[in-house]
Amino acid sequence: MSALLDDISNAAKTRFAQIPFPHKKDEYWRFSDLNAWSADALFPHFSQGVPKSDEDAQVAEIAKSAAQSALAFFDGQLVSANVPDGVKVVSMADGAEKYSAEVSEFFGAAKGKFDTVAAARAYNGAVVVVADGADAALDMAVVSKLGLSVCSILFLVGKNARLRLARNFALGGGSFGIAMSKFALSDGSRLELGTHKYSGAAAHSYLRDDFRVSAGVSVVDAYAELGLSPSRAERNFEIVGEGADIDARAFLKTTGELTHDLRTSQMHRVGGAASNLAVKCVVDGNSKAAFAGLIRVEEGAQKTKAYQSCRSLSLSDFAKTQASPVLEIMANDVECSHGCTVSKPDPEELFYMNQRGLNTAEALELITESFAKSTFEKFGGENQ
Amino acid sequence: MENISDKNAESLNLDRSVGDFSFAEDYAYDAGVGLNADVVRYISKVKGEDPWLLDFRLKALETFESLEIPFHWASEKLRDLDFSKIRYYLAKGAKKRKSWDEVPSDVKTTFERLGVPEQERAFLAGVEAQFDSESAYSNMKAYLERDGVIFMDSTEGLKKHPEIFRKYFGKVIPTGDNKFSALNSAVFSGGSFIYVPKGVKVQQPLQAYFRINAESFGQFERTLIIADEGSELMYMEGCTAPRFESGTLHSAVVELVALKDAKIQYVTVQNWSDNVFNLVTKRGMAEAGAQIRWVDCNIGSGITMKYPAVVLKGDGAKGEVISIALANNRQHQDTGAKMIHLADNTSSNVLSKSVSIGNGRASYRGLVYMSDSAKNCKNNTECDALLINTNSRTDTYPAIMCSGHNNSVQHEASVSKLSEEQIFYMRQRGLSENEAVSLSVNGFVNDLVKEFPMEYSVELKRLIELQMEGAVG
Repeated sequence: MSALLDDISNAAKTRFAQIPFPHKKDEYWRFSDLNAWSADALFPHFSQGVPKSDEDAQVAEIAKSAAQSALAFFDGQLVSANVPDGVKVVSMADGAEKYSAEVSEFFGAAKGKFDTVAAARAYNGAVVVVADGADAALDMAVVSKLGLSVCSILFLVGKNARLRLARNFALGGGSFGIAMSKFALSDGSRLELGTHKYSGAAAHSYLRDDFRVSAGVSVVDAYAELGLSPSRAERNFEIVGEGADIDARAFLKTTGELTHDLRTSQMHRVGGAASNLAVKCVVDGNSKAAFAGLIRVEEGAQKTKAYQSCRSLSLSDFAKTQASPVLEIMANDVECSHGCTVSKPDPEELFYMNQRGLNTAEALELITESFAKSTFEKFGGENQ
Repeated sequence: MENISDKNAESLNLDRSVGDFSFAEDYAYDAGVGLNADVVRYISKVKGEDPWLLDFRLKALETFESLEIPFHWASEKLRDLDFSKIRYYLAKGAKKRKSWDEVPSDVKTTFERLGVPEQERAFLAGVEAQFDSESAYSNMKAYLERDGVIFMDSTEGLKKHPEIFRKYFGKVIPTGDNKFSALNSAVFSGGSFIYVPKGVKVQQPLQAYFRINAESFGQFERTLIIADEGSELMYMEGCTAPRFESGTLHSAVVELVALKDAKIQYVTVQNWSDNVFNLVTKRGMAEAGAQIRWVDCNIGSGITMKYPAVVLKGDGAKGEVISIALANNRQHQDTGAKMIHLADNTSSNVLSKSVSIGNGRASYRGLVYMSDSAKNCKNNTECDALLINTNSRTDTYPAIMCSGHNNSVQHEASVSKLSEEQIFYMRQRGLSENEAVSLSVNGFVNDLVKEFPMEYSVELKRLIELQMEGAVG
């Protein structure tokens, strides 16, 4: 038992009771499908009375192969840790003892309605420590099956270390999966992170990733949301060291009546760093992709380079894209830009592929695939 | 260069006293300070309005009281706004002057200092110069009357042409649209009413000058412009205001209706003094084939919140917003555009440029909406910001909501600073740093300034130079 985790948990429970569920006056939840995140929609998960819908084949597949992963979490419990040299995994309770400052800071950032739930279940999850100078590659699976499944993972990456991490999130039908992670990246380290998230029907997925980026750190990040149930991802890059470089990409695919919701922030606290975020969405059916991205350059953070783009490909007349790319700039010697486009597949491209013998459905699939692949091209080989 | 820019920050404090002047207040009608139902009744009585209009005002007052300022996104500066300390109605009460000679001399002096000489007026198609609440002077060229163009202040319009006015009044911007449109609906006075009949193309721009001339006096003009099928007009408004100790509220409502194939161009140059809250609701409705274009320049005021909108309601309608904002020290220009695409084949274009000087803050806040029933719609939005000093601030808050068949939206924003090379080049050629900075800023906004009518683009360049004045030595 850990006194620190108990304190965190109790404070979070109090906070959860105090703050409202997302509502329409909450700018941070603008464009979201608020019905999907209302107390009524989520209560069945909290009460754990959700009848498990039929097992989703893809979730079952991921769950089966999860055991072979270097790190596997089932409903926040670490079930396998087969990590390479230079990497250490400890339970959150042990972590709270050894890295109390880091753990408090990690959970202290949880201020929203659902990351607060992660803090309330602070024992679920682990601390992963990568030693200074280590070079480690590992894969990780997080499987959610319970009505309310919480997993919090704190990554402490040492100086000049390199971490290559492939994450796989799988949520079974009826599960409300809450995952909160933080990557505390020490000076000179490098993170290559690929994330794939899939959820079965009738689930809810909330994911928060925080990146604390120190001097000289480089981050290559690719995130793909391919789930079949409502999701919300909040990805925050906080740059506190000069010379840092972030290349982040995200891909969302929505179908049916679904809304996938992505929030990003690129906070440049100091100057001389670069960040580039590219979001791509493919929207189909009656679904919606909601994106809000913030670039904030603090006063004095001169020589910052920050870019952001959002490209949405609309395959249906009823699919919606709602985007709000925000810039807040308080320094003048900076390069910042954002762009946002929403469009249909190019009729000429379709015509070309039709000419080559593909029917329209196949052609659209090919276009979607190439659109998605560009998100992961930096990793070579890895194909979603 | 950084040092020089910092120097700019201090010395760029514009001496606005040059343009700050006012005359002894001498008003026949004064609704007093504060707002309640009696104030609204007083305004309505003084103006001799029909009962339906009094009802409209009283309902609007209730709506105003029930609405909150949306602090979840609006500037905290609005907390300084005390509705109980504002005068909602003041008027000279003098009868309309038919000829220039009959205008009282103090009013004339004000116009002259505003730079609206009598001679220039002769060239203007029609002038509605608003002195506080009532139009002090109105003159219309005979040919406008001959063509059946109606151009008068809105109080008069309501009385003389209720059949046209009531049909569109409050239809584009409903009372409850926001707290400030409700306030305007309750206490409005002055503003213009224009009706251009079918097929009439008004050759010369129609102009109105607005001026606030009493401390703590909010100006709540209400403008309604209706362009009937196939007609065209350009309307220009320019604003200056003297500086006073306590904040002054300017909260206008401007509604444009462009019927089938009509074209309306609405040009604004705003240069309020920096204690003015400029909270304006402007929206146009474009029927099939119609075009509405807002050309907007915001230079003064303490805070401006203004997002001209076009509702593209008919097939093939076009909307455009051209916007220039200059935020000097302690100013916040929160401007933008809204394009609501409800019909097929509609297109819209938003070009916005902002300059932030000293600790000034320029924000772009925009909305592009395309409904799923609309086909082949296009929008293009470009926002460019120029930051002069190290502590200048700029923000971009676009909202894009797109669905429907073959609709496309593109939005781009970029931020830049003054080019050191350009400044160096100009200094080498003998320009002072101040001149070089001013020229560079004028160059940055030049392609949009060109979109303004000639009279305004000259005035605009001068205003921009004035804002950059006193930079060095």
